[in-house]
Amino acid sequence: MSYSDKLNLDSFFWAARDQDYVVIKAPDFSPDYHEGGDIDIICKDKNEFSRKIIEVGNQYVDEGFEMRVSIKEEMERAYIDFYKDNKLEFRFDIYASVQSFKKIRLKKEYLDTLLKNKTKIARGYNGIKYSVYIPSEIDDLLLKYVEYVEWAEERPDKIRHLKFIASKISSDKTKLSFLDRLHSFLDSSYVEQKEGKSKEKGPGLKPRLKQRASRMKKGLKLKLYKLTKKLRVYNLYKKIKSKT
Amino acid sequence: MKEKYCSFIIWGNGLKCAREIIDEIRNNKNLEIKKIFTHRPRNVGKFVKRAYSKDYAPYRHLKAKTKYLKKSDPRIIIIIALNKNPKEKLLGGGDFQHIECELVKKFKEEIRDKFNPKDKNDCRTEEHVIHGTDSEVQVDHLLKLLGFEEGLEYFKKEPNPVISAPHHVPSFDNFEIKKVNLSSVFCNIIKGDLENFSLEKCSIENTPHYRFLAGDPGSYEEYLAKLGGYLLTDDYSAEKFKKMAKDFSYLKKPYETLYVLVKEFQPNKYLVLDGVHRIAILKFLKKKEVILAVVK
Repeated sequence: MSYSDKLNLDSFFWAARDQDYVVIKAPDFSPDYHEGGDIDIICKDKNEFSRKIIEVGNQYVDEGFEMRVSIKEEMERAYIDFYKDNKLEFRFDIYASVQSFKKIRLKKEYLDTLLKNKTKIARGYNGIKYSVYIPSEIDDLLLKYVEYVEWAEERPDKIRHLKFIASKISSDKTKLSFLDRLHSFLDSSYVEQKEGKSKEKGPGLKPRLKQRASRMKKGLKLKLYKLTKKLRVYNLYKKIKSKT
Repeated sequence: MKEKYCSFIIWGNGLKCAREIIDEIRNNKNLEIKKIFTHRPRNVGKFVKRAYSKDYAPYRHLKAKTKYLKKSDPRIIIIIALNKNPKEKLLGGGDFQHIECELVKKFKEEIRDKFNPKDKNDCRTEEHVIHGTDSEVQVDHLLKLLGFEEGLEYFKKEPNPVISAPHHVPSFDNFEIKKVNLSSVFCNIIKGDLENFSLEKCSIENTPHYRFLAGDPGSYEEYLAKLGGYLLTDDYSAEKFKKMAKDFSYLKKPYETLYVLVKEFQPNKYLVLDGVHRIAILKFLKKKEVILAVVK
C-alpha cells in the first residue's frame, strides 16, 4: 500500500476541533496516510461531525474528488469516502456508538467515559496549533482488546493487540485500571442473551407446533389433530410397507 | 423561545388584495413563509366550522362573525409560516382567555386595519380578510383538513440528517457529492394548466427561471401566476428571485451543505430534485461546472 497526501487530514480535524470525538488507532493518523486506508472516529454527534468533514470536503470535490456518503442511522454510523478517478483514496469511518461489535458488547454509557477521559496530541494546520483527540491509555487498551475479540477468528494478525496489551499492563496499577474499566463496561448480559437464544433453538419443530396449536380455536385445533393423525398413520403405513 | 409554526387564511373577501397581504407577511422579519396553498372548500360554512374546531373560541361565537364568508368568493388562500420569534402571552378575558403570540395577534390586527372592508364612515368592519393562528395544534389540524395526513410532521421532516434538504424530498441515506458539467443537468417543469398538466424534463436554458434572468421575466411570472398556490406551493415571487440572484453565492459559509439535489436518471445525466432557481442562477453566471449532491 502506498502513501498519499492528496488529502490534508489536518484540514478536516481542524474544522472539527470543537467536536467531542476520539480518533482510534492514532498512530495511523499522520500527514501521509495509506492510499485506500481509513480512519475510525468515535464521537458524540456523528451527523455534526460528518457535516464538518463534508464542508471541508467541498474544496477537494472542486479539485476533482468525489465524496460518497452513507448514513447508517440504526448503527449510529456514517462513512464518508473520498474517491479520485473512481478509486478509493480515503475513508472516514464515524461512529456515535461503542456498540457496533457483534461478538462482544460494551455498555452504552462507555461512550461518555471514553470521551470524558480522552487525551490529545498536538497538531498544526496552516501554522496554527490545535489538538487531535485520542483515547486515554486505558481506553486504548480496552478498545484493542475488544477489537481482538471481535476479529481474532477471521484475522489472526489481530493477536498483535493482545501482545500490545500484555506489554502495556506490566505495572499492577495499569493492570487494575484496565481490568476495572473492562469489568465496568463490558455488557455481560449481551453474551448471556446470545447463549440463551441458541438454547431456544434446541427443542425443534414439535414444541413450536404445539404452541401454535394451543392458540388456535377449538374447531381448527381438532381439524389439525385429525390431519396430523392422518399423516402419522400414513407415515406408519409407508414405513411398514417399505419393510415388507 | 423556540420557533413555532403558524398559519394564516386569507378569506374570499380578501383575495383581491391577497398579493399585498402575502407581501406584508414576507416583509415581516419574524415570519418565514413555508407554503402557500389555494383551496376551494366544497362548503365554506363546513370548512370554517372544521377549521375553527380547535380554536379557543367556541363555534357559536364565530358563527355570527363568519356569516359574511358565505357570500364571498369560495376560494381561500392558506399560508403556513414559521414564527421565528414567538412572544406568547395570556390574552383575552373570561371564557376566551388563551395563550397567543402577541406578534401574530398584532400582525393580524394590522392586516385587518389595512384590508378589511370599510363601512360608510370609513371605519374598519369586522368582516375579516384574514384569520391567523400561532397554535401548532390548530396548524396541524388545518393541514390535515387540507389532506396532509401527517399534519405538521410533514414540514418538520428532515430527509437527511447531515446535509440540507427540504421536507418534500423523499428521505435518503446515501448520496454522492461531485462536480458535474452544467450541460448534464436537467429540470422538471410543469407544462399545461391545473386541469391537465404534466412534468417535462428540459435543459436549464429552457426553464422559466433561466429565461427570467436572461431578460424575459414574463414567462416566470406567468408560470407562478398559473400554478402558484396549487402545483407550486413554496413561497416564490419574481422579487424574491431577483433578490436571490443579486446576492447569490453557492456553498459559501454558512451554506456549505446547501447543495442542489439531483437524481441520476441516465448515466451522467442529472434531474434536479431541489434547486431549480439556484441552478438557473449558476447557468446565468456562465458557470461550466457545479458541485451537486446526487441522491441514491
